[in-house]
Amino acid sequence: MRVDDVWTIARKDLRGAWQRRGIRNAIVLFPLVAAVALPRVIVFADERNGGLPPAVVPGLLQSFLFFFMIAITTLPTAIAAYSLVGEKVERSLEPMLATPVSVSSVLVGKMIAAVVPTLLSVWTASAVFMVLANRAVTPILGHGWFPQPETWLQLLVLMPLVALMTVNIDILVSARAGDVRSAQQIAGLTTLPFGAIYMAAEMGSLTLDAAMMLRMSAIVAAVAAGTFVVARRTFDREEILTRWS
Amino acid sequence: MIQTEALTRRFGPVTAVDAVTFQIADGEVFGLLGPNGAGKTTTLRMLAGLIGVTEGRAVVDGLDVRDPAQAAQVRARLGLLPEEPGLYPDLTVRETLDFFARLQHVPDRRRRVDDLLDRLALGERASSRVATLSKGWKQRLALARALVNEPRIVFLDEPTANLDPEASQEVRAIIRDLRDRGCTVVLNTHRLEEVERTCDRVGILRTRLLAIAEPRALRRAATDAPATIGLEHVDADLVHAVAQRLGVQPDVTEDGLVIPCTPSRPMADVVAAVVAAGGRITRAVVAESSLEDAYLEVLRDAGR
Repeated sequence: MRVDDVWTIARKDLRGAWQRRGIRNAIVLFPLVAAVALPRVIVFADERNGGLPPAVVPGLLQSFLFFFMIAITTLPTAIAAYSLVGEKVERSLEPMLATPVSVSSVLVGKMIAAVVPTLLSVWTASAVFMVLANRAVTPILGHGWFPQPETWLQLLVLMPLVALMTVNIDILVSARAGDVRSAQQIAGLTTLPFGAIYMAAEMGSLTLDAAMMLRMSAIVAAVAAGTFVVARRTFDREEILTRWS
Repeated sequence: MIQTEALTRRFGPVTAVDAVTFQIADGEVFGLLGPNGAGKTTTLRMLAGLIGVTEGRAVVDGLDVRDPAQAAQVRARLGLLPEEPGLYPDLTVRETLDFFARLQHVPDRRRRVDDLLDRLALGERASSRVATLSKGWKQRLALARALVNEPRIVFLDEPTANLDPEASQEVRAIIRDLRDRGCTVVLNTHRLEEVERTCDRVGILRTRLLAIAEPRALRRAATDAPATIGLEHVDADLVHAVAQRLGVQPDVTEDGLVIPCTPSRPMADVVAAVVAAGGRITRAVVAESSLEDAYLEVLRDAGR
C-alpha cells in the first residue's frame, strides 16, 4: 500500500462526492441543523415546563449528543455508496484496478474519503451543539455541562469506530447492490441499533456514561474488525471484476 | 512478447478459457475474434494480471502473470482499454488523465498529460467534464487513459463497440499509430472489418483457440470458396459426370457450374474433372472467401 496512491484515490472520491449537492448538503447541513435545533429543545422544554429539573439535564444532554451517532452511521454511507456502487455502475473500477495500485490502497482511499469528511462535519456540529447546549443549561445548572469524560469517549473513540464499521458494511452491501439508492437503504440499517440506544437513553432506561461508552466501543471495535476482514476479502481485484454484478 | 501455454480459466464448473496457447511478437497487432461469451475478455484479464489463471501459464513481457508481484509489474507496463470506457463523469478530461498518471506514477505527469491531449486531439475538450462528452470522445479519452504510462503493450477490449463509423475510423487510426510506434496491441473484437483493417494476425476463440493465422491466410484456408466454371454448353450428362468425378453435386447456372473448392478438392482438380467429363471451359474463377466466411466456417467446424 502506498500513501500517495491512497491520497490520490481519496482526493478523487472526495471531489466527486463534494460535487453532488445532495451529498454535500447532507454532510454539512444535517449535523449542523441538529446542533442548532437540539439546544433549542432544551430551552423550549425549560420554558414550557416552568423550568427543567437540574437532575434530568445531564441525561438529556448526553442523549442529545448521542443523536450525532445516528449522523455518523448515515453520512459515511452517502459517500461510500456513491464511490463504491457509483464506480460499479459506471464500470470505472476495472481501469483503476488495471493500474499497479494495490487493492488495499483503493480500499483505504475510499474509506478515508467516506470517513474523514463525515467525522469532521459531525465533530464540528457536536462542538457547536455543546457550546449552544452549555449556554442553554447555564440558567438551569448555574454552569455549562459539556464536556464530560463520556463526551470524549463518544467523540474520539466510539464515533471513529462506528464510522469505520459503517464503511465496512457499505463495502459489503456495495458488492451486491445494483444502484446507489438501494445500497444506501440497506446500509442505512446500521442506524437502527444506535437509534434504539438513543431512544432508550431518551426514555431514561439507559445511561450513556463512560462505562457504557467503553462497552459500546469494545463491541463496535470487534464488529469493525470483523467486517473489515470480510470487506477486505470482498474488495479483491478478482472478486470485483468477476462477481460484483 | 506475449506467450500463453495451455492457459485455462474456470469459474466454478464453467470453463471460460480452455487450454489456449499462442504467442504474440513484439510490435504485432493481434486480434482475438470470437462470439460473445467466447472468453476473449477473460483471456485479456488473465494476461493483464487482473484475474487468476486456473491452469497453464501466461508470460507478458517476460513476466509471469501468475505471480502477484510480477502481475503488478505487468499492469505497470501495459495499457488496458476495457469494454466499457469506465470514466468518472464528474472529472474533466485533464483531471481523468492526471488521476491515472498519478496511479501509474508517471514522471513529469503534466508534460505526459499535455502530450496525450495533443496526440489524441483531446486538447479542445481538456476542461470539459466527462459527463458532457459524446461516446466517441469518451472512447478517445479512455484510449488516452490506457496510454498514460507510455505502455509497450496495449490491450483493447472491443474498442469500437457502439461507436459510429467516423469515431470507429478514428479509433482504428489510433491503433495503427500505436503499431507504427512499435507497441504490441491485442485487440478483442467481434467486428471482422476491424480485424481485416488493423491486425497482423488473428486468433479465433470460442473457449478454445480454434484457429490462428494472418487474416488473408485465414480467408484462403476457408474451404467453401465457390469455383464458377463457365462452359460453352451445359447438359445433364456433363453435370452427372462431373458430380461422379468430384463426389459433389454442382450447382447449374445459365452458362456453367458452381462447385465448392476445398483443400481436398482444389480449383485445379475441379477444372481437370470438368475437362475430363467433356466440358469446354470458357472461364474459371474461384472467389476468395471473406473473413466472415472463414470465421463462420471455423466456428461451424468447431461445433461439429
